[in-house]
Amino acid sequence: MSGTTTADEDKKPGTEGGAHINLKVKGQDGNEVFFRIKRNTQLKKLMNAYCDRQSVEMNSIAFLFDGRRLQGAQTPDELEMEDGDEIDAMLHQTGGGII
Amino acid sequence: MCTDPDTLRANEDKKYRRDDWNVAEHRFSGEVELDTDVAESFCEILKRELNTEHKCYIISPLCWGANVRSAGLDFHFKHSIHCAGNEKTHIGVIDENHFFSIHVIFEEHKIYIMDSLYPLHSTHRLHVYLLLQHLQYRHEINKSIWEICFVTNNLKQENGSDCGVFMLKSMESWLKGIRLPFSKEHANNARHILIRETLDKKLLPEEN
Repeated sequence: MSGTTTADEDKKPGTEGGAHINLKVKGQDGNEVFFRIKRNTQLKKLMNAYCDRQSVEMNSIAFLFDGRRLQGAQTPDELEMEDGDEIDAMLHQTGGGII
Repeated sequence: MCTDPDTLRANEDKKYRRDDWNVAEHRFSGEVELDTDVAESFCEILKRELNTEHKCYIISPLCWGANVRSAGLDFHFKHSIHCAGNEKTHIGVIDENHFFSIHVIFEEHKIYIMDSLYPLHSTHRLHVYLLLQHLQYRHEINKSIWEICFVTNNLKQENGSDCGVFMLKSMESWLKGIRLPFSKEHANNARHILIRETLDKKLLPEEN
């Protein structure tokens, strides 16, 4: 397992629980990045931050939660996400065999 | 060295008027490998077609990838691949840039592997092993009761880029329980229809 990094989004001192949620994004290499965002913030913000941090193009990564692909306009509230939930970041791959 | 633009242009023109330069042969095939984005979107379309009669799950290659990666020693998959009442689970797999599918028929205790290119090999075995361990440890279905079958009379691709199309068409075929009017000659056509369908349903981002 590679190292863990932390990224805080919208972190305000003294804000506990309630409006904020901690989410973990796990890449295909097992690397985990933690985010703290507001429950009603669009996940686009988290996706952008993750892609910036990993230096990858936004459209080369698919974010999955609970087996479903996340849309940028969705919010943690809409998806009934809970504190500590994990999002998978999967790279697009093309398929073709070598013959 | 002459840097006068007119002379340079004249030299270029001369170069391209000469008829002894080599032209490499290129045959445009229009073949593009399907990616997990298209596969994910098409699986989403298949899921939408499911109704209560089907009692089955569709697992996209991206979702299966996330499951396999998260499978720990207790083989706890993060996302549901089986629940009470579910009769079949169809799994799309991508491994080493090759798509194939695994079909679990719970009532018959049969697992079918379908690959449009390769014969049975260690990658198939690895994914089936993970699946069996998961079914045993999370769903208490003894792994020894399963009959594993490798489909041999399925359509085979004749190039290195069609496995995505074949995999998705076989998923559709299993889901609908029919033999689709699809052959290797139709693969390119099917590819365009798949992409068109997923674009029409707004499941793929339009190219900017």
